[in-house]
Amino acid sequence: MQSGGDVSQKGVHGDGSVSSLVAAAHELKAPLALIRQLALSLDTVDTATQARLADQIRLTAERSLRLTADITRSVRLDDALFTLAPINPLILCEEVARELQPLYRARGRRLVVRRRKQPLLMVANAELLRRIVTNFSDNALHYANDRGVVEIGATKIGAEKVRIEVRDYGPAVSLRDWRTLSDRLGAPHSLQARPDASGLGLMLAAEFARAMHGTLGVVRHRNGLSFYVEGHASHQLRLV
Amino acid sequence: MKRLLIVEDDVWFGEYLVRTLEPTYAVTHVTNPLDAISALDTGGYDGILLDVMLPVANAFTLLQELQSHSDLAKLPVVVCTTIARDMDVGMLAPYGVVALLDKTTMQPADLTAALGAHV
Repeated sequence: MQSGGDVSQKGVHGDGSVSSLVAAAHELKAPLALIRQLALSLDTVDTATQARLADQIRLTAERSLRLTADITRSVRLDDALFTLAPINPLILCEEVARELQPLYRARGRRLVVRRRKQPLLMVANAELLRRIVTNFSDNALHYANDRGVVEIGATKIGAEKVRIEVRDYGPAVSLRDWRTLSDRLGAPHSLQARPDASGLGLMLAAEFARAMHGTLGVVRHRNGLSFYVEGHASHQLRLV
Repeated sequence: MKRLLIVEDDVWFGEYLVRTLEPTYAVTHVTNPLDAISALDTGGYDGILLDVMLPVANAFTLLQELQSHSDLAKLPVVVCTTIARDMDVGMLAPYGVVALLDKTTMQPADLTAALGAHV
């Protein structure tokens, strides 16, 4: 670690701190470059396009701010105790979908929540779970193809687990890349989302999942990927 | 009008590039190298504007693919990326790269100037 003392004093920890900082810098470069170029071109376009560009600037800034909030949260994970409580995963999915809908709409995409008849409860920390699902949905937006739909939903896995899944219909991922991705989702400081993306968001999601004793995974489809987070099912429903 | 293929995975950055360049070029925008190869198969392009961090396969895969086709090997490629500072245009020259643009500092005029000099 370079200048280890300085970095540690800022609360960044572990062997991967420098690579995490580099990944954070890379991840933020792209949206900042986009914001700058859009701002530079504002004077050269008609009023209607100006309004659209202003929307794009705002939504890109908000997306970057979500990432910076996640980075801040991740460096404080060790200091915090996270309350686990039964959460209705579908309500959480709907909240995430509502929050991201403006971004999806502006990108010509749709985020759809898969309904289910049977109620589910998942034991999790609401804030961390929300950040994970938001993160997956944000990531899926980037890879969704022209069909334009990303689906989120919750399912019961066996008797003990509940899974929230974000399914994109993006380009196919090779078996080799999928294996790398699967391995790294479970490992600290994984840095690859799709080939050639820094994947900082997914790395943070993995940190959040560990903090609330959940697990992350990825399923490869012929036409895209499903990222998922799993936690224990709550049995409170049995008492009702 | 000369034909330019833009390979850029960010939809809004791609739209910006199209807006900036379509007064000068007949532009086609694709978001990954596989679609770029499909577009190039149709022929008739005079140059490529290429991002580096791309899904499915990276820019270097595309550059190598271009070199394996005699008709595409000489196509001028302008690379436009946020990691330009970590790259060297001299080392990329054997792959047809004629200019390197830094997305984080470039002006719209840099884009048209770099392409205008080679395409």
